[in-house]
Amino acid sequence: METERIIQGCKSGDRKCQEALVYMFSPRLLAVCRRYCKDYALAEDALQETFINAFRYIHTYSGTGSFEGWLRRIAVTKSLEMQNKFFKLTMFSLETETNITESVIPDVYSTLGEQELAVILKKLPENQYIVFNLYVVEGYSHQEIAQLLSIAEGSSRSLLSRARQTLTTLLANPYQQSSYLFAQTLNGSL
Amino acid sequence: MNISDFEKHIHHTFHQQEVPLNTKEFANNLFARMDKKEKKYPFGWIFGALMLGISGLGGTYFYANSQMFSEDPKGMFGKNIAITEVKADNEVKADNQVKVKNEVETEAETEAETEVKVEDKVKNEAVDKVKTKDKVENEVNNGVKTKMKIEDEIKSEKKIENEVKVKNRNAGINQNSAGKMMSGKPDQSDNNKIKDEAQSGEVVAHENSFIKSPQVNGLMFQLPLLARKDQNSLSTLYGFKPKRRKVECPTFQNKRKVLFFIQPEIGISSPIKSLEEKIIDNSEVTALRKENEKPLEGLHAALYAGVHLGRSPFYVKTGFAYSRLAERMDLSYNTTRMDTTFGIISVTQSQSGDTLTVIYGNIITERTVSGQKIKHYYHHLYDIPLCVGYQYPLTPRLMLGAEVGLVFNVGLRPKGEILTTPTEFAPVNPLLYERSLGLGWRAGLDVEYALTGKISLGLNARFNGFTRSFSNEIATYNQKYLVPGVFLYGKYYFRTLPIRH
Repeated sequence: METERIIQGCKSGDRKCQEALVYMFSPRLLAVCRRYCKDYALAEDALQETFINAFRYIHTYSGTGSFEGWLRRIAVTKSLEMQNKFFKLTMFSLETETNITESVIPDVYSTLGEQELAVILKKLPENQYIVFNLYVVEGYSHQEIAQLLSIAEGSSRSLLSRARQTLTTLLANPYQQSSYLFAQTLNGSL
Repeated sequence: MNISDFEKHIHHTFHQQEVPLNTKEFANNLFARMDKKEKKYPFGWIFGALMLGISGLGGTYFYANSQMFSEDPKGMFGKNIAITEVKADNEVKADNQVKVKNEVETEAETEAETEVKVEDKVKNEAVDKVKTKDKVENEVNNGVKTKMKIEDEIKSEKKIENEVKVKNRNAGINQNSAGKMMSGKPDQSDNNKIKDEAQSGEVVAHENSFIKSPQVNGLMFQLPLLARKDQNSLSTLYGFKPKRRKVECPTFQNKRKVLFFIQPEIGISSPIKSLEEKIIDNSEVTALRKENEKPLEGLHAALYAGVHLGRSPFYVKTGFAYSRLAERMDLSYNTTRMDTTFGIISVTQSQSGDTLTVIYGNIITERTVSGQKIKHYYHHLYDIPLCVGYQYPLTPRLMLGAEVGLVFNVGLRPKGEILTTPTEFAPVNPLLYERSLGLGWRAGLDVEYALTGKISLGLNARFNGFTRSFSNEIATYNQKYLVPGVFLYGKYYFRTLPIRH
């Protein structure tokens, strides 16, 4: 109820409501921006852009879906814009071949916290990292990812599949991570 | 824990994640930035309004200039004549207007003058008219009469009649020439002078400057009846012979002069491909290519040199053109692979742990393999087009054109990777493609806008067709293209076109 009142205030341009919105959502949205931006300063810039755009287009929010989800989507888009990710992934020939095998990850990984998980995920190649985050954390569909990154839907599936494979390998052989990544780099998948 | 459980754990962990932030400072920075942005808007609007105003004024100015050209019905070829005619015509009109004004002034001034003075001067004027009549007649006989000029003659006849009426009323003098005019015959000398002015506007301007000099002003004050009415006769009367400047008169000669131009061009196209099997053998590769291979946009660049023949709106051009047609293939597949290895399949041990039996055999592993491949290949085309075009001027600056031509393809180089088996790509085999396609055709429409007298910018919509298949007789398929495209070009003429001053 409180959020709805703030949203209405923001729609009418009330500065206090806008401040309240910033206080309410900025730590979570900064976490989103931080995941897609290389450093903290860039993430803060992306967060500012997120709020500026949110205030500008808040009248388009119909109120049917989650408001936080709406804000998160803006944050993801702005963060990727900051990183100039859009056209990097468009025109390259992609070839993937995936073995669909049942992998087992040690249970100990289910107890890992945010920082440890972030360290593991950061070891993924950049394109796999982005697609994995968008699919697993943000809950985007492959169609939405394809649209956002201007790539084919199939490419999104392939990148996710490769990310899973890479993660499985990394977690199964933690001591071979560096050599594996080196091999991936040589293959041109980074 | 399998990967999906791990993903759920990641989702849950990150979805609730918060990063500590100095929210107050962040909010201050954010709102300061927003306020700064908001303050910028009025400046933007002011700047926009200024730019709009300037461009509007500029547009009006150019429109006004272009109106002068648009009176010529002949179009861009033969504008040299048209412009001179219009200039001369304008000067005659302006001169007539001055005369009408002066006539009114003269009427008022005449009443204040003494009849004796007027009588002497009008006599002199009449003598002068007779003297100059022959001269001017000769000049006019050599000149060209246009419809506009004849109209002006009729107007000037009426004016002269009125002026003479004024003279007669005020001065009460019966001159021979005046009597002639009163009887309804036009004074040829005046008429001829007007014609002369029409043909040599600059001479009139020169004489005007003489009349405006202090000495002559004094003289004109004494001769109000004559002042400004008949400037040519005044100069002749006092022995002043204005230095005639060289005036470019209109000619109707149809000299054949060629007009060269060069034309760089870039363009984008959307090729339409047809891929057909030569012998229907239900090849899976061709079927997959037909289904999944999509032509992407084609890129084009060209440099032409051309020539307009004389004043004809037709032109011929040739040059060198490069095109790149791209193909993209998306292939998704899902297959099961069986791998067989030889190894230990069973070991029997005793209770004490000793190995009793070891059985070796084939170990069969079934793998489901799915994948996606995206590959591109390109056709690089090198052409020499030879085109004939026609341009029709809609306005002095805007032209509508059409062109058709032949295209001699001198080179075709395929590059990239193409589907060779149902699951694999390989580099394109150039032996399966023609090295050159030979004769093709093109046809299109264009709109061209003259930025200056020498430089134009145009947009061309065109179809480019190749009569032959890109693949040669060795290949099992025919691959043909029709290439519709949009092209942006600039044109530089080596001679300034009159229309484009």
